[in-house]
Amino acid sequence: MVKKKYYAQFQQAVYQQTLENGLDVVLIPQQGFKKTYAILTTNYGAVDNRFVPIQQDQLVTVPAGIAHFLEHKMFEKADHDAFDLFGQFGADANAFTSYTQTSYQFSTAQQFAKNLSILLDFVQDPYFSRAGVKKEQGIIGQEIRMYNDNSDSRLYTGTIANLYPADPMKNDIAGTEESIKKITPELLMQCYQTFYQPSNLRLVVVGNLDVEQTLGVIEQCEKDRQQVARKIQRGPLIQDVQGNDIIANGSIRMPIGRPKAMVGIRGLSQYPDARKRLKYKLACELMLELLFDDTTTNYLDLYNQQIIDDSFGFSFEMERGFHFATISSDTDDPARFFNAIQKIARHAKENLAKMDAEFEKTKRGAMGRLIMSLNLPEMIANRYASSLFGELNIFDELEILRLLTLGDVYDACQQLLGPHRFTNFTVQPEKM
Amino acid sequence: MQIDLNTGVRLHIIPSQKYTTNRILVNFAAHQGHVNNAARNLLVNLLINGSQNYPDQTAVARQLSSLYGAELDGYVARLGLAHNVRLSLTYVNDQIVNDSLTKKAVNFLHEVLFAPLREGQVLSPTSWQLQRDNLAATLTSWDDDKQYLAAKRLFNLYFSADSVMQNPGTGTVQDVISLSNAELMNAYQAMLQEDQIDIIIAGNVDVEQVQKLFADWPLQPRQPLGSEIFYRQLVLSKIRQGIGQEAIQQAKLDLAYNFPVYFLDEDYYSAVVMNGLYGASPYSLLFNNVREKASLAYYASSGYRPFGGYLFVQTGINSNNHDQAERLIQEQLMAMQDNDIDDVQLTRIKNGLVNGILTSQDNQGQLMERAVISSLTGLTIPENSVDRILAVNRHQVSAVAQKVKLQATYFLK
Repeated sequence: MVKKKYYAQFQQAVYQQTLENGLDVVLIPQQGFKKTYAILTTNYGAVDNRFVPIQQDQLVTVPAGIAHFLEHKMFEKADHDAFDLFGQFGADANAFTSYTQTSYQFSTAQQFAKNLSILLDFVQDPYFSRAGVKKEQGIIGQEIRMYNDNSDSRLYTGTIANLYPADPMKNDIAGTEESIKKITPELLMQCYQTFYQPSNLRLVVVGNLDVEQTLGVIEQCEKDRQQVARKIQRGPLIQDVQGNDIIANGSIRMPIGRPKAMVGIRGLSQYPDARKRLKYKLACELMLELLFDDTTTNYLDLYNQQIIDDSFGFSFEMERGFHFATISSDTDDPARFFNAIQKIARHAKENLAKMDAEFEKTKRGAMGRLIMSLNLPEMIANRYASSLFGELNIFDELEILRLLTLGDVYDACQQLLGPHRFTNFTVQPEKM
Repeated sequence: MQIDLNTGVRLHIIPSQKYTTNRILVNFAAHQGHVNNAARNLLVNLLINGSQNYPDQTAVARQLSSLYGAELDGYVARLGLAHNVRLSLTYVNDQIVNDSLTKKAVNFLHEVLFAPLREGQVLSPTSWQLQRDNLAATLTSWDDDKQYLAAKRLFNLYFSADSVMQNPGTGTVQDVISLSNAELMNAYQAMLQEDQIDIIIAGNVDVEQVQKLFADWPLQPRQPLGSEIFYRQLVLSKIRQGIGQEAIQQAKLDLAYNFPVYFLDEDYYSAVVMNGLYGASPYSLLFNNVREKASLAYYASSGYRPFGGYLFVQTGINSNNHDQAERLIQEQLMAMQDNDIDDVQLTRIKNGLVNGILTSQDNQGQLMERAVISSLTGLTIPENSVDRILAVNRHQVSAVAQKVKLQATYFLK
């Protein structure tokens, strides 16, 4: 059964159907667009390295970086490279791995149906060879080195590693040159069979598409793929749910011109209900904007005192089972930066309570930016490509955001900005 | 639709119903030889960070927030010999939020452009110093990106010593630091009085209303850019080689080539396909043979500058593999020159380029960029560009590849 939701303000329909084999399909046709964008996502990422394999009963631990490695290797087939097929039919294809998801995507203005079949087929037809694995170790080894040379990347991964020192988030998504050497075709297959079953996959298609025709193509592709009966069992993700293991300070040196500083804040709350989870996420994002974005006096003070510059930024990231915020800038004096940020965080609650007027403006700005992103099919699709927020989509997000109150932000602040959840991390220039 | 607001001041309107956004781009173009890049860069940073009615970044940001999260951007961009200062504003289209945002947006841009923060005859010294320090810090931090640093040094080698292109479009850190407020003020006045101006507005807009709004802007007649903006440089017989050391894990090997095929020249589309086949696509020779087959690099790509008449290759490799990588890179070019080209691969490259052209029609920003380019060059991308790409055959690719001449290499290890 196809379910249809209609969003009148945007004259936009969203169609959803779960196939018999468990594959979750979301279709969002957009008027006037030439491009169609499709993204197929497995609810499986870099942190899922402890699990019970589908045909076994014991927990196993697999090498760090294997989800990302698997993503690379999915393109290789016995007699061809799936990537070349997209090229042949004029699509632009790519893939990425995050902490909790792996996605395969293409966009095209030509031969959409053909490209969609290629996508569904290649992701559900594994082929791993020993020679292919060996070659990939060389390529990913170079990728890891490239990121190791990138100071912004090191700032971020260093911060996250200190927020979660006992958990798989401490590893880079790509793993290390050592860990990926332990990857074998057998291990890849074990991960594949456990996490790439249809009921763990979601397909989202946005842009120039006909709903019935597209569903027809998908059903045709999927008709011989069976549901796997067993549920996925993962090992516990977080060792210390109270976050007592957070490492408060860290620093590395690299050949850069000016220090970089990042504050990480680890959230502890869990929201089993998807709508409440999304609401909490949006409240946290608005809270960070109210405290730090460029409309605030906090920002102006830091900027005028030259504690921060145009590189200043903050973000809130929510993934399956964990969430955190980061605040960062290039700065001559990291200690001053850390003190300033901590001070703002300490007084956040009392200040937020007085920010009614700012709240309305900030919310209006956030809604406007989200509406502007609706121009891009990939934005609409990528935001809800995973099952993190259940059946909700970007149009539901707009509605939840519209109804958000300052009280919600205040509550979120109490949840997120507790004491001892902070880490300060610095990338320092090498000594002259 | 194109309207001359005055001599040298053009308004381009690109109406469309399908976007949730409207966008305005104001492009100031001057010849590279006559302007101070650092001053123009600092100037645009100053303009977008404060004005008389919105005296600091916070006030500007609040105004943007009240315009439903509108995004204001200001930057410099070089296109061949044209140095451009750009202001852009993106906002939700009026119909969606049921508000007259276009009028407010145009008025806001007017304020940003014509009412900068001043003290007497000069731009606000406080704001000038703050933005100067910030811009200098930003430019300095770019060197932390070793991929950027290697490319920068490569182009220093490639451009002849007396070339105006030696000076980056953004200006150098030294130039920014040593600017005086008077120089900044001069740059501001010259930009308003002498630059060719193109104003592009795209989205769900009322043509008459837009025309009226911009007609009020105090922009006097000026000389249009006139002479061509293509940069030409003689081929030198000696290849310039540079080498540098940094504490990095992955070495960078970059190459620059003279390639005198310019935008919409007769063999322009052959050149675009050739560049795609060489390294500008994941189906390219560099990607497949240097990265994938030999496992030598994480990235290996080429870029083509049809306004600058050159081509370049960037790779990230293990420093021990320098010789092998360089040889492989050269071999890919020679294979094309020798007409050793796989038709299946060529088809993939062309399909990818066609897909890019078709999907770009959904992209407001690209439609606007096209309007600027056409106004600066007097050349318009033909309607049949898809067919032109598809018609390119391997003999044409091979012929155009023979115009590629290696001029400089840079190795950062």
